[in-house]
Amino acid sequence: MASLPKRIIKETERLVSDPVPGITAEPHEDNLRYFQVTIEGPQQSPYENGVFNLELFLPDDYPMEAPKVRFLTKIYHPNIDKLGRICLDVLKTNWSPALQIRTVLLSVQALLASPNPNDPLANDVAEDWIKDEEGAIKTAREWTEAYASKKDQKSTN
Amino acid sequence: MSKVPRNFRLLEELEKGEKGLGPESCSYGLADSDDITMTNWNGTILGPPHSNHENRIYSVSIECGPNYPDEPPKIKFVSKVNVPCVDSTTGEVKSSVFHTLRDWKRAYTMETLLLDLRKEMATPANKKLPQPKEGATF
Amino acid sequence: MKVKLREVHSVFAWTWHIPKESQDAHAETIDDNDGDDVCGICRASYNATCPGCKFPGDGCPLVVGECNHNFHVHCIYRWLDTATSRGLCPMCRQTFQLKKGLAINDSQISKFQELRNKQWQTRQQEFGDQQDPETNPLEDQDDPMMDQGLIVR
Repeated sequence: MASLPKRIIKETERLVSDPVPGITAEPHEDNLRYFQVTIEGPQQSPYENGVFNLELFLPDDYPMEAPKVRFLTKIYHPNIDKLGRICLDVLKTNWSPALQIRTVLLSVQALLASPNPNDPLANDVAEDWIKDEEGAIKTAREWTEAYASKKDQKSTN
Repeated sequence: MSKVPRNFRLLEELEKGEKGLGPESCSYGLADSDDITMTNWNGTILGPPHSNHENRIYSVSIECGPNYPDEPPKIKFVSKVNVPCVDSTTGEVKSSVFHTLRDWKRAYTMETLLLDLRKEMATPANKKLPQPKEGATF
Repeated sequence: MKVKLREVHSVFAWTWHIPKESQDAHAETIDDNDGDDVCGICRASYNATCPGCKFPGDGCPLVVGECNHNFHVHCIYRWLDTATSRGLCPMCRQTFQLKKGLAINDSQISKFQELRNKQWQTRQQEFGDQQDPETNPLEDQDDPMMDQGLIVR
Protein backbone atom coordinates (compact mmCIF):
# COMPACT_ATOMS: atom_id res chain seq x y z
CA MET A 1 0.00 0.00 0.00
CA ALA A 2 1.17 3.50 -0.79
CA SER A 3 2.55 5.32 2.24
CA LEU A 4 0.19 7.58 4.12
CA PRO A 5 0.71 11.32 3.53
CA LYS A 6 2.20 13.16 6.50
CA ARG A 7 -0.84 15.40 6.76
CA ILE A 8 -3.12 12.39 7.37
CA ILE A 9 -0.73 10.99 9.98
CA LYS A 10 -0.65 14.35 11.78
CA GLU A 11 -4.42 14.72 11.68
CA THR A 12 -4.92 11.21 13.03
CA GLU A 13 -2.44 11.76 15.86
CA ARG A 14 -4.13 14.98 16.85
CA LEU A 15 -7.61 13.41 16.79
CA VAL A 16 -6.33 11.00 19.43
CA SER A 17 -4.14 13.32 21.51
CA ASP A 18 -6.51 16.30 21.44
CA PRO A 19 -9.99 14.93 20.69
CA VAL A 20 -12.92 17.18 19.87
CA PRO A 21 -15.49 17.11 22.70
CA GLY A 22 -18.39 14.83 21.77
CA ILE A 23 -16.61 13.37 18.74
CA THR A 24 -14.38 10.34 18.33
CA ALA A 25 -12.61 9.22 15.17
CA GLU A 26 -10.38 6.18 14.93
CA PRO A 27 -8.77 4.70 11.84
CA HIS A 28 -9.36 1.04 11.01
CA GLU A 29 -6.21 -1.01 11.50
CA ASP A 30 -6.30 -2.47 8.00
CA ASN A 31 -7.08 0.84 6.26
CA LEU A 32 -5.68 4.00 7.78
CA ARG A 33 -7.77 6.20 5.49
CA TYR A 34 -10.98 4.68 6.80
CA PHE A 35 -12.27 5.99 10.15
CA GLN A 36 -14.88 4.81 12.56
CA VAL A 37 -16.58 7.91 13.94
CA THR A 38 -19.03 8.70 16.73
CA ILE A 39 -20.80 12.01 17.20
CA GLU A 40 -22.86 12.91 20.26
CA GLY A 41 -26.13 14.65 19.52
CA PRO A 42 -25.85 18.33 20.47
CA GLN A 43 -27.62 19.48 23.62
CA GLN A 44 -30.97 21.19 23.19
CA SER A 45 -31.38 19.44 19.82
CA PRO A 46 -33.73 16.53 19.08
CA TYR A 47 -30.60 14.37 18.90
CA GLU A 48 -29.59 15.14 22.50
CA ASN A 49 -28.41 12.08 24.48
CA GLY A 50 -27.88 10.13 21.27
CA VAL A 51 -24.58 8.73 20.06
CA PHE A 52 -24.42 8.35 16.29
CA ASN A 53 -22.04 6.08 14.43
CA LEU A 54 -20.55 7.31 11.19
CA GLU A 55 -17.87 6.23 8.77
CA LEU A 56 -15.36 8.49 7.09
CA PHE A 57 -12.99 7.81 4.21
CA LEU A 58 -10.15 9.94 2.88
CA PRO A 59 -9.97 9.42 -0.90
CA ASP A 60 -6.64 9.29 -2.75
CA ASP A 61 -6.95 12.95 -3.68
CA TYR A 62 -7.51 14.16 -0.12
CA PRO A 63 -7.02 17.04 0.75
CA MET A 64 -7.75 18.21 -2.80
CA GLU A 65 -11.00 16.27 -2.51
CA ALA A 66 -13.30 16.27 0.54
CA PRO A 67 -13.51 13.29 2.89
CA LYS A 68 -16.49 11.00 2.32
CA VAL A 69 -18.75 10.76 5.36
CA ARG A 70 -21.88 8.72 6.05
CA PHE A 71 -24.14 8.02 9.03
CA LEU A 72 -24.37 4.36 10.00
CA THR A 73 -26.99 5.01 12.69
CA LYS A 74 -30.52 5.67 11.47
CA ILE A 75 -31.39 9.33 11.95
CA TYR A 76 -34.43 11.48 11.20
CA HIS A 77 -32.99 14.70 9.76
CA PRO A 78 -33.93 16.74 6.67
CA ASN A 79 -30.35 16.82 5.36
CA ILE A 80 -29.52 13.15 5.92
CA ASP A 81 -31.10 10.46 3.76
CA LYS A 82 -32.17 6.89 4.49
CA LEU A 83 -28.74 5.56 3.56
CA GLY A 84 -27.01 8.01 5.89
CA ARG A 85 -25.75 10.28 3.11
CA ILE A 86 -25.25 13.86 4.25
CA CYS A 87 -26.14 17.02 2.36
CA LEU A 88 -23.56 19.49 3.61
CA ASP A 89 -21.85 22.16 1.53
CA VAL A 90 -18.35 21.64 2.95
CA LEU A 91 -18.48 18.00 1.87
CA LYS A 92 -19.29 18.99 -1.71
CA THR A 93 -19.02 22.37 -3.41
CA ASN A 94 -17.61 24.31 -0.47
CA TRP A 95 -14.78 21.95 0.36
CA SER A 96 -11.39 23.58 0.94
CA PRO A 97 -8.08 21.82 1.64
CA ALA A 98 -7.71 24.14 4.64
CA LEU A 99 -10.48 22.09 6.29
CA GLN A 100 -9.66 18.88 8.11
CA ILE A 101 -11.28 15.74 9.45
CA ARG A 102 -12.01 17.50 12.76
CA THR A 103 -13.57 20.60 11.19
CA VAL A 104 -15.70 18.46 8.89
CA LEU A 105 -16.99 16.42 11.81
CA LEU A 106 -17.71 19.61 13.74
CA SER A 107 -19.76 20.82 10.76
CA VAL A 108 -21.71 17.56 10.81
CA GLN A 109 -22.37 18.04 14.52
CA ALA A 110 -23.47 21.62 13.84
CA LEU A 111 -25.84 20.33 11.16
CA LEU A 112 -27.51 18.20 13.83
CA ALA A 113 -27.99 21.32 15.95
CA SER A 114 -29.48 23.30 13.07
CA PRO A 115 -31.35 21.22 10.49
CA ASN A 116 -31.96 23.02 7.24
CA PRO A 117 -35.21 21.76 5.63
CA ASN A 118 -34.89 24.28 2.80
CA ASP A 119 -31.83 22.51 1.40
CA PRO A 120 -33.00 18.93 1.73
CA LEU A 121 -31.60 15.59 0.74
CA ALA A 122 -34.19 13.31 2.34
CA ASN A 123 -37.16 14.93 0.67
CA ASP A 124 -40.00 13.41 2.68
CA VAL A 125 -38.31 14.29 5.98
CA ALA A 126 -37.77 17.87 4.83
CA GLU A 127 -41.43 18.15 3.81
CA ASP A 128 -42.56 16.91 7.22
CA TRP A 129 -40.17 19.36 8.82
CA ILE A 130 -41.62 22.33 6.96
CA LYS A 131 -45.26 21.25 7.37
CA ASP A 132 -45.10 20.31 11.03
CA GLU A 133 -41.83 21.21 12.70
CA GLU A 134 -43.01 20.22 16.15
CA GLY A 135 -44.10 16.79 14.94
CA ALA A 136 -40.84 16.29 13.03
CA ILE A 137 -38.76 17.19 16.05
CA LYS A 138 -40.77 14.70 18.09
CA THR A 139 -40.08 11.97 15.51
CA ALA A 140 -36.39 12.89 15.49
CA ARG A 141 -36.34 12.48 19.30
CA GLU A 142 -38.07 9.11 19.05
CA TRP A 143 -35.62 7.87 16.45
CA THR A 144 -32.70 9.07 18.57
CA GLU A 145 -34.11 7.13 21.51
CA ALA A 146 -34.76 4.05 19.37
CA TYR A 147 -31.56 3.84 17.32
CA ALA A 148 -28.91 6.04 18.94
CA SER A 149 -29.33 5.61 22.66
CA LYS A 150 -26.06 5.20 24.55
CA LYS A 151 -27.20 2.08 26.40
CA ASP A 152 -28.04 0.23 23.19
CA GLN A 153 -24.70 1.00 21.61
CA LYS A 154 -22.81 -0.40 24.57
CA SER A 155 -24.70 -3.66 24.53
CA THR A 156 -24.45 -4.16 20.78
CA ASN A 157 -20.84 -3.14 20.27
CA MET B 1 -4.26 3.56 -4.99
CA SER B 2 -5.84 3.19 -1.61
CA LYS B 3 -8.61 0.71 -1.00
CA VAL B 4 -12.06 2.26 -1.08
CA PRO B 5 -14.03 0.58 1.75
CA ARG B 6 -17.07 -1.52 0.89
CA ASN B 7 -19.76 1.00 1.82
CA PHE B 8 -18.25 3.94 -0.04
CA ARG B 9 -17.60 1.73 -3.02
CA LEU B 10 -21.27 0.65 -3.02
CA LEU B 11 -22.38 4.28 -2.68
CA GLU B 12 -20.31 5.12 -5.77
CA GLU B 13 -21.92 2.29 -7.67
CA LEU B 14 -25.36 3.33 -6.46
CA GLU B 15 -24.82 6.88 -7.63
CA LYS B 16 -23.66 5.72 -11.02
CA GLY B 17 -26.69 3.46 -11.29
CA GLU B 18 -29.11 6.16 -10.10
CA LYS B 19 -27.81 8.77 -12.46
CA GLY B 20 -27.88 6.35 -15.38
CA LEU B 21 -24.23 7.02 -16.11
CA GLY B 22 -23.58 3.42 -17.03
CA PRO B 23 -24.25 1.69 -20.34
CA GLU B 24 -27.83 1.28 -21.55
CA SER B 25 -27.59 -2.47 -21.84
CA CYS B 26 -27.81 -3.04 -18.08
CA SER B 27 -29.09 -1.34 -14.96
CA TYR B 28 -28.94 -1.90 -11.22
CA GLY B 29 -30.25 -0.36 -8.01
CA LEU B 30 -30.84 -1.12 -4.34
CA ALA B 31 -33.61 -3.66 -3.71
CA ASP B 32 -34.51 -1.87 -0.48
CA SER B 33 -33.79 1.85 -0.47
CA ASP B 34 -33.88 1.81 3.35
CA ASP B 35 -31.19 -0.82 3.77
CA ILE B 36 -28.23 0.98 5.29
CA THR B 37 -26.04 -2.12 4.70
CA MET B 38 -26.74 -1.96 0.94
CA THR B 39 -26.67 -5.76 0.66
CA ASN B 40 -29.43 -6.62 -1.81
CA TRP B 41 -29.62 -5.20 -5.32
CA ASN B 42 -31.81 -5.68 -8.35
CA GLY B 43 -30.36 -5.65 -11.82
CA THR B 44 -31.50 -6.01 -15.40
CA ILE B 45 -29.70 -7.18 -18.50
CA LEU B 46 -30.97 -6.29 -21.95
CA GLY B 47 -30.70 -9.42 -24.12
CA PRO B 48 -27.85 -9.05 -26.63
CA PRO B 49 -28.81 -8.51 -30.28
CA HIS B 50 -28.44 -11.27 -32.91
CA SER B 51 -29.16 -13.93 -30.31
CA ASN B 52 -32.19 -15.75 -28.96
CA HIS B 53 -32.13 -13.18 -26.14
CA GLU B 54 -32.76 -10.23 -28.39
CA ASN B 55 -35.42 -7.80 -27.09
CA ARG B 56 -35.75 -9.62 -23.79
CA ILE B 57 -35.06 -8.00 -20.44
CA TYR B 58 -33.65 -10.31 -17.80
CA SER B 59 -34.02 -9.54 -14.09
CA VAL B 60 -31.33 -10.60 -11.67
CA SER B 61 -30.83 -10.23 -7.94
CA ILE B 62 -27.41 -9.48 -6.51
CA GLU B 63 -26.20 -9.91 -2.96
CA CYS B 64 -23.13 -7.90 -1.89
CA GLY B 65 -21.90 -9.52 1.31
CA PRO B 66 -19.82 -7.88 4.05
CA ASN B 67 -16.57 -8.67 2.22
CA TYR B 68 -17.57 -7.17 -1.12
CA PRO B 69 -15.67 -6.06 -3.23
CA ASP B 70 -12.78 -8.19 -1.96
CA GLU B 71 -15.09 -11.12 -2.58
CA PRO B 72 -17.51 -11.34 -5.51
CA PRO B 73 -21.23 -10.80 -4.95
CA LYS B 74 -23.75 -13.61 -5.36
CA ILE B 75 -25.88 -13.21 -8.44
CA LYS B 76 -29.04 -15.04 -9.40
CA PHE B 77 -31.33 -14.80 -12.39
CA VAL B 78 -34.95 -14.06 -11.53
CA SER B 79 -36.04 -14.37 -15.17
CA LYS B 80 -35.64 -17.87 -16.56
CA VAL B 81 -32.69 -18.25 -18.89
CA ASN B 82 -30.80 -21.12 -20.49
CA VAL B 83 -27.04 -20.48 -20.28
CA PRO B 84 -24.51 -23.10 -19.08
CA CYS B 85 -23.13 -20.89 -16.26
CA VAL B 86 -26.61 -20.47 -14.75
CA ASP B 87 -28.02 -23.22 -12.52
CA SER B 88 -31.08 -24.47 -14.36
CA THR B 89 -33.18 -25.00 -11.23
CA THR B 90 -32.23 -22.05 -8.98
CA GLY B 91 -31.09 -19.42 -11.47
CA GLU B 92 -27.85 -18.90 -9.58
CA VAL B 93 -24.82 -17.96 -11.61
CA LYS B 94 -22.27 -20.65 -10.82
CA SER B 95 -19.09 -19.05 -9.53
CA SER B 96 -17.05 -22.14 -10.34
CA VAL B 97 -18.00 -21.85 -14.01
CA PHE B 98 -18.46 -18.17 -14.75
CA HIS B 99 -15.02 -16.58 -15.20
CA THR B 100 -15.88 -13.12 -13.86
CA LEU B 101 -16.93 -14.59 -10.51
CA ARG B 102 -14.20 -17.23 -10.46
CA ASP B 103 -11.38 -14.77 -11.21
CA TRP B 104 -12.95 -11.86 -9.35
CA LYS B 105 -10.85 -8.72 -8.89
CA ARG B 106 -11.47 -5.90 -6.45
CA ALA B 107 -11.75 -3.41 -9.30
CA TYR B 108 -14.75 -5.26 -10.75
CA THR B 109 -18.19 -3.80 -10.10
CA MET B 110 -21.78 -4.98 -10.43
CA GLU B 111 -21.72 -3.33 -13.82
CA THR B 112 -18.71 -5.44 -14.87
CA LEU B 113 -20.61 -8.50 -13.78
CA LEU B 114 -23.82 -7.63 -15.67
CA LEU B 115 -21.98 -6.70 -18.86
CA ASP B 116 -19.87 -9.87 -18.73
CA LEU B 117 -23.01 -11.98 -18.27
CA ARG B 118 -24.50 -10.28 -21.29
CA LYS B 119 -21.36 -11.12 -23.28
CA GLU B 120 -21.64 -14.71 -22.08
CA MET B 121 -25.20 -14.87 -23.44
CA ALA B 122 -23.94 -13.71 -26.83
CA THR B 123 -21.02 -16.13 -27.33
CA PRO B 124 -21.26 -18.29 -30.47
CA ALA B 125 -21.81 -21.35 -28.28
CA ASN B 126 -24.63 -19.75 -26.29
CA LYS B 127 -26.48 -17.34 -28.50
CA LYS B 128 -28.66 -19.90 -30.29
CA LEU B 129 -29.50 -22.03 -27.25
CA PRO B 130 -33.25 -22.58 -26.97
CA GLN B 131 -34.71 -20.19 -24.39
CA PRO B 132 -37.65 -20.63 -22.02
CA LYS B 133 -40.88 -18.76 -22.64
CA GLU B 134 -40.41 -15.03 -22.18
CA GLY B 135 -41.51 -13.83 -18.74
CA ALA B 136 -40.95 -17.16 -16.98
CA THR B 137 -39.19 -16.93 -13.62
CA PHE B 138 -37.07 -19.25 -11.49
CA MET C 1 53.21 30.10 12.91
CA LYS C 2 52.13 28.76 9.58
CA VAL C 3 48.71 27.22 9.12
CA LYS C 4 47.97 25.05 6.18
CA LEU C 5 44.31 24.90 5.33
CA ARG C 6 43.50 21.50 3.90
CA GLU C 7 39.75 21.55 3.66
CA VAL C 8 36.87 23.86 4.44
CA HIS C 9 33.29 22.73 5.09
CA SER C 10 30.71 25.44 4.84
CA VAL C 11 27.25 25.05 6.24
CA PHE C 12 24.42 27.35 5.30
CA ALA C 13 20.96 27.75 6.72
CA TRP C 14 18.19 29.09 4.53
CA THR C 15 14.55 30.03 4.66
CA TRP C 16 12.19 31.42 2.07
CA HIS C 17 12.11 35.15 2.12
CA ILE C 18 8.56 36.18 2.80
CA PRO C 19 8.00 39.92 3.18
CA LYS C 20 6.85 40.78 6.69
CA GLU C 21 3.45 42.05 5.69
CA SER C 22 2.81 38.80 3.83
CA GLN C 23 3.49 36.59 6.81
CA ASP C 24 0.39 34.98 7.96
CA ALA C 25 -0.30 36.17 11.49
CA HIS C 26 -2.94 33.56 12.19
CA ALA C 27 -1.46 30.59 10.33
CA GLU C 28 -0.40 28.88 13.50
CA THR C 29 -3.75 27.88 14.92
CA ILE C 30 -3.77 24.44 13.39
CA ASP C 31 -0.48 22.75 13.98
CA ASP C 32 2.21 22.23 16.50
CA ASN C 33 5.11 22.82 14.21
CA ASP C 34 7.50 24.48 16.66
CA GLY C 35 6.51 27.93 15.52
CA ASP C 36 7.46 27.08 11.97
CA ASP C 37 4.86 28.31 9.51
CA VAL C 38 3.14 25.53 7.61
CA CYS C 39 1.52 25.31 4.21
CA GLY C 40 -2.25 25.45 4.73
CA ILE C 41 -2.74 22.61 2.28
CA CYS C 42 -0.20 19.89 3.10
CA ARG C 43 0.56 21.16 6.65
CA ALA C 44 4.30 20.71 6.12
CA SER C 45 6.65 23.59 6.90
CA TYR C 46 7.18 26.25 4.25
CA ASN C 47 10.85 25.34 4.25
CA ALA C 48 10.15 21.64 3.80
CA THR C 49 8.67 20.12 0.65
CA CYS C 50 5.17 19.40 -0.53
CA PRO C 51 4.20 15.70 -0.29
CA GLY C 52 5.28 15.06 -3.89
CA CYS C 53 8.86 16.39 -3.63
CA LYS C 54 11.99 15.04 -2.01
CA PHE C 55 14.27 18.08 -1.90
CA PRO C 56 13.30 21.44 -0.46
CA GLY C 57 14.44 24.63 -2.11
CA ASP C 58 14.16 25.75 -5.70
CA GLY C 59 12.61 22.43 -6.72
CA CYS C 60 9.63 22.99 -4.44
CA PRO C 61 9.20 26.73 -4.04
CA LEU C 62 6.74 28.78 -2.07
CA VAL C 63 4.33 31.36 -3.47
CA VAL C 64 2.77 34.33 -1.75
CA GLY C 65 -0.86 35.18 -2.42
CA GLU C 66 -2.33 38.65 -2.83
CA CYS C 67 -4.35 37.72 0.28
CA ASN C 68 -1.09 37.01 2.16
CA HIS C 69 -1.75 33.28 2.32
CA ASN C 70 1.28 31.28 1.31
CA PHE C 71 1.58 27.76 -0.03
CA HIS C 72 3.99 25.38 -1.68
CA VAL C 73 3.53 26.14 -5.35
CA HIS C 74 2.76 22.47 -6.10
CA CYS C 75 0.06 22.35 -3.43
CA ILE C 76 -1.83 25.49 -4.45
CA TYR C 77 -1.47 24.63 -8.12
CA ARG C 78 -3.04 21.21 -7.63
CA TRP C 79 -5.89 22.79 -5.70
CA LEU C 80 -6.56 25.53 -8.23
CA ASP C 81 -6.57 22.87 -10.93
CA THR C 82 -9.64 21.18 -9.37
CA ALA C 83 -13.16 22.18 -10.36
CA THR C 84 -14.14 22.51 -6.69
CA SER C 85 -11.60 25.27 -6.06
CA ARG C 86 -13.31 27.80 -8.35
CA GLY C 87 -9.96 29.57 -8.28
CA LEU C 88 -10.33 30.44 -4.59
CA CYS C 89 -7.74 30.58 -1.82
CA PRO C 90 -8.29 27.60 0.54
CA MET C 91 -7.87 29.82 3.59
CA CYS C 92 -9.98 32.91 2.87
CA ARG C 93 -11.96 31.92 -0.26
CA GLN C 94 -10.97 35.02 -2.16
CA THR C 95 -9.80 34.57 -5.74
CA PHE C 96 -6.22 33.39 -5.39
CA GLN C 97 -3.73 35.66 -7.10
CA LEU C 98 0.01 35.83 -6.86
CA LYS C 99 1.18 38.93 -5.06
CA LYS C 100 2.78 41.26 -7.55
CA GLY C 101 6.35 42.50 -7.40
CA LEU C 102 7.77 39.72 -5.28
CA ALA C 103 10.92 37.92 -6.37
CA ILE C 104 9.64 34.69 -4.91
CA ASN C 105 6.57 34.70 -7.19
CA ASP C 106 8.27 35.84 -10.41
CA SER C 107 9.11 32.46 -11.88
CA GLN C 108 5.56 31.19 -11.32
CA ILE C 109 3.52 33.96 -12.91
CA SER C 110 3.20 32.43 -16.37
CA LYS C 111 2.25 29.02 -14.99
CA PHE C 112 -0.57 30.51 -12.94
CA GLN C 113 -1.79 32.65 -15.79
CA GLU C 114 -2.06 29.59 -18.02
CA LEU C 115 -4.06 27.81 -15.36
CA ARG C 116 -6.45 30.71 -15.03
CA ASN C 117 -6.88 30.93 -18.76
CA LYS C 118 -7.70 27.25 -18.87
CA GLN C 119 -10.31 27.68 -16.14
CA TRP C 120 -11.75 30.77 -17.75
CA GLN C 121 -12.26 28.80 -20.94
CA THR C 122 -13.87 25.88 -19.12
CA ARG C 123 -16.21 28.25 -17.36
CA GLN C 124 -17.05 29.87 -20.68
CA GLN C 125 -18.02 26.49 -22.09
CA GLU C 126 -20.11 25.67 -19.03
CA PHE C 127 -22.08 28.88 -19.08
CA GLY C 128 -22.34 29.12 -22.85
CA ASP C 129 -22.43 32.65 -24.12
CA GLN C 130 -23.52 34.16 -20.84
CA GLN C 131 -21.13 37.00 -20.25
CA ASP C 132 -20.13 38.45 -16.97
CA PRO C 133 -17.23 40.86 -17.31
CA GLU C 134 -16.99 41.23 -13.53
CA THR C 135 -15.78 37.68 -13.15
CA ASN C 136 -13.42 37.79 -16.09
CA PRO C 137 -10.09 37.01 -14.46
CA LEU C 138 -8.19 38.13 -17.54
CA GLU C 139 -9.43 41.66 -17.63
CA ASP C 140 -6.22 43.37 -16.71
CA GLN C 141 -3.81 41.01 -18.36
CA ASP C 142 -2.40 41.09 -21.79
CA ASP C 143 -1.76 37.53 -22.74
CA PRO C 144 -1.96 35.85 -26.13
CA MET C 145 -4.09 33.13 -24.58
CA MET C 146 -6.83 35.65 -24.07
CA ASP C 147 -7.35 35.97 -27.78
CA GLN C 148 -7.77 32.24 -28.06
CA GLY C 149 -10.36 32.39 -25.31
CA LEU C 150 -12.31 34.93 -27.30
CA ILE C 151 -12.13 32.81 -30.43
CA VAL C 152 -13.54 29.84 -28.56
CA ARG C 153 -16.46 31.98 -27.57
